[in-house]
Amino acid sequence: MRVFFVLLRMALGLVFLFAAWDKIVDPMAFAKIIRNYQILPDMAVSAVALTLPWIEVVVGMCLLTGFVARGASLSASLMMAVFLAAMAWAWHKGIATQCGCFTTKADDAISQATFIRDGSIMAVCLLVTLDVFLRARRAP
Amino acid sequence: MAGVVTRRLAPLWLELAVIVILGVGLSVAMNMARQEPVPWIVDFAALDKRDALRRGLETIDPHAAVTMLGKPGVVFVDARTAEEFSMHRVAGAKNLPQEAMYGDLDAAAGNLGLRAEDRIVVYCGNLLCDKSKELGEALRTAGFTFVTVMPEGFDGWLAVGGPTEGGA
Repeated sequence: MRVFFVLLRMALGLVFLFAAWDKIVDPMAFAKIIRNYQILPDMAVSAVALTLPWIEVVVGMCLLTGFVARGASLSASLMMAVFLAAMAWAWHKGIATQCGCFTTKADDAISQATFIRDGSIMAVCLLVTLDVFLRARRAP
Repeated sequence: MAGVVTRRLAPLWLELAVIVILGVGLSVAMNMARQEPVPWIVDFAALDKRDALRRGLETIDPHAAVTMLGKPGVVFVDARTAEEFSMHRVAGAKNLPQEAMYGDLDAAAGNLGLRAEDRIVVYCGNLLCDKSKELGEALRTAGFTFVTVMPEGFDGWLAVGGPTEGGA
């Protein structure tokens, strides 16, 4: 069972690393997607577009290696909660924007599929977080 | 009890701090290492305006556009596809798909009843699309003097609660 959760944590790390790549390559395209959500003020959009992918990279690396695993798993869960909330807001407002989750290209529009995908990742995040925290608690 | 909680939580906050500091630090360092660093603060609205002005167009934000709806001589033109238009649009808008600029634009505009003296507000889907600017520029070239673009597009219109019709 322990091996399963370690593998799950590492897979989650890879997902975060994969998700960060495209946004790091083209931060302006990512910034435009963030802006289109119409949640952040214009002045904050670029800073978030530059910073967020690198936090994803750090979280991904930490999940992959197990370094500061509690902080990483909790950060992953919090980030996924924020992403899902932003998507839900855009969906509710009828904003037909790109998700900006895994790519900055125009082939990842918010849809039921993106909700199912990100919801599944969120579920894995919560499982990993629970496991990491329980293990930390049991540790001497 | 509070002491136990503090002792348990402190390392967690430290872990979170390490992640944030590393992430921010890396983003600053890697942005500085770019050939053309991306500005940390970008006035996107000004960028939109400059892009539109370069094409000889004025811009209007959705809040101001809402107040223009229904005024005499003001026509909202939807540059999206006929399919998108049929699903949901600005109330009273006319559909002139951006592709029309590659054909007989004068005839297409005439069929919609657009007149040279009309104040035309062109929009497309959202901030990511350039169809409105391209069509607006083509309309200006075709002799329509008062062409304004709403860069936020239909999504911006929805966000400010502008009147719509044909909603899904």
